[in-house]
Amino acid sequence: MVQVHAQGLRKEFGSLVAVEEFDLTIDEGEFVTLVGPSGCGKTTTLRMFAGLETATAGRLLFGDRDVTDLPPQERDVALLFQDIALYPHMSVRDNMAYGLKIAGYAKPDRYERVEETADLLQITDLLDNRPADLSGGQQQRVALGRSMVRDPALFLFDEPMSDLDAKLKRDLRPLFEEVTKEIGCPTLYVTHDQEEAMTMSDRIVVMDDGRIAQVGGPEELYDDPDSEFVGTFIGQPTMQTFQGRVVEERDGLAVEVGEHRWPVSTRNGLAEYTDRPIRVGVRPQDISVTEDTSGGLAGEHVLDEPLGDRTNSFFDTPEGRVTVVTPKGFRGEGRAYGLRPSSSELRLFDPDSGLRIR
Amino acid sequence: MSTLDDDESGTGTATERRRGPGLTRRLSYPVRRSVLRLGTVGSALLLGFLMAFPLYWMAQNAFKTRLAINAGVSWLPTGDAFTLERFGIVNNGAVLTYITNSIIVTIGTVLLVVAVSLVAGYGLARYDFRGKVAFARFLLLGYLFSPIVLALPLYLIWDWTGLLNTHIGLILALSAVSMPFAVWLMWKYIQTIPQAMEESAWIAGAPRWRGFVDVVLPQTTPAIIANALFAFGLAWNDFTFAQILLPSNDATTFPPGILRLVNASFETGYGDFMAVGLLMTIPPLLFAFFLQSYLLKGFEIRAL
Repeated sequence: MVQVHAQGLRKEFGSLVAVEEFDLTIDEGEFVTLVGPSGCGKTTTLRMFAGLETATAGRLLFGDRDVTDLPPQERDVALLFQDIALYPHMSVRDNMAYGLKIAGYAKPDRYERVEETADLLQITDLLDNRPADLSGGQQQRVALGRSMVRDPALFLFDEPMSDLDAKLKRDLRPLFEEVTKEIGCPTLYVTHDQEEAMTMSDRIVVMDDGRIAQVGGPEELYDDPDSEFVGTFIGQPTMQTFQGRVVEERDGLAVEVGEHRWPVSTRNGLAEYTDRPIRVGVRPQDISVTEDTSGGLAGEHVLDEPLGDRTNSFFDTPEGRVTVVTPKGFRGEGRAYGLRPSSSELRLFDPDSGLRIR
Repeated sequence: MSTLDDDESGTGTATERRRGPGLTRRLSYPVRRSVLRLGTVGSALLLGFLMAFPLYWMAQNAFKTRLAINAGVSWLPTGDAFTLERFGIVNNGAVLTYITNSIIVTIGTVLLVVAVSLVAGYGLARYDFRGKVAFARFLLLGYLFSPIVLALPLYLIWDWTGLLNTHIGLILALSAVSMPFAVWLMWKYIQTIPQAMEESAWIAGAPRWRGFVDVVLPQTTPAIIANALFAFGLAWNDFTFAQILLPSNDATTFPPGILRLVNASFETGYGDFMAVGLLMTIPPLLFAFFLQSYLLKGFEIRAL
């Protein structure tokens, strides 16, 4: 078991730069998720780790082994594909044993290893079936088994659950985590689903347009996003953003959104934005709704989405539509409300670069 | 509301709707069903008759004595009219040579077409190169030329390269004719096999050729069989190329051979040709019969 280092990875397709300046270290047994919108370069990055794409520049080290220019056959990685990619003409047993067969194991040894793995994943009774006879969840279990029989040096997941239904995802999530912990190798998991990233990862790498936007633990990214992009990408419902201005008041600086002003605690970098526009972000969980319309953004209630333990409510305000997390049982009935963001939870961003002003 | 409903209790507007756009006149369901069935069965019978009658004609003449043939058509050759001696023609040395040549050329063509189409189809499906689509379109241009247009220049080239009157010469020519379709089919077929399957094999440690053999090849069986059938039919029944590229009687295949025999001999009767013709239709029939289910699968490609 080894650490995996990526140093300045870069991938160009013709004149298109898909990934650049990608630096990352994954520890033994660490579960790192690569998350971002489609086209951000996360799958390309994963394929460079797998050896299916060759890096244009940069280095990739598994421990002290330089694998940058090694083909996938010699990298000793496991990869779970989005479209599962089981071989339709082989039984589940032979699918799982294929890697061992290539590695030159004798038939009894192969099947013994397969049985052990199948036991762990509770798919023993599927071994004689063809992949086409299995459900989506079973197929993904088999694919997981196929990739883990060979004790990989690095475990890669390429959006393995994006074609599965929500309940199955929740069932498979802990399984993926347990299995990778059990194997104890570094894991890189690619997804476009921030919820998957939040729930499974030790650390999350958020990518935007071929670059790393931020790396951190789930709570760190949620509480302390480095940019408006990360702030709005992580967290459900999405962080609400407004166009605002920084204004000077008697006792310090305040942020003005529409006709409302909220004092903000002094931040080092904020003074230089005085009298200039700024982006203001606040999580829907940090906005309170009052019947008193004078103290906050005036919002006309549109509709509620009850979720059982809480409600997502939508309001039309002069600043656009705003989502607020309201208590269980909240029904707005189309009336007018005042929306008050908690001023300590305001996140301020540069309007041009989108970077956080701290 | 089902428009197949044939109860007449509908209101005026419902009736109007039934006579809506495109339905100028509506028959009741049982009537429509009978008409449809009659049409289907009738056209199938007509087509079947048109295709089967020449075969029947050949078959019944193959089992008749020469006198009975001259006497005209009979339903089935029976009694004195029935004989198997027509089949004695296969003992004719020339006919045997023609059949042997046909078998060699056909097997050679099938093997070459299958092998080359696999490699070329894989290359087209998995590698990008400049002008790939233009190249693929160009492939199909070959079908715009009739065999005789191609065969004459081929004669000159084959003559010059010494391929005239050789099995390999005809195999090459026939393979070239089958190849555009075969490569096209294999290309489209391999495109339906997800690349991730191969990538998964590579990651498991399999070299590219091994991934091809273990993962791609077994899944292309329907396309291989479709190509083999197509090449078989083309090679077995080819007349033009064999006639032109194998001018020597010793080298030529059955179709031109038998024609030369017909033209050359007064001895050999009409019924003898029918007998040997019948024998020669049996292999492709069997070949097609046993592989037809695979053939249909081979053409079940959404993207073709």
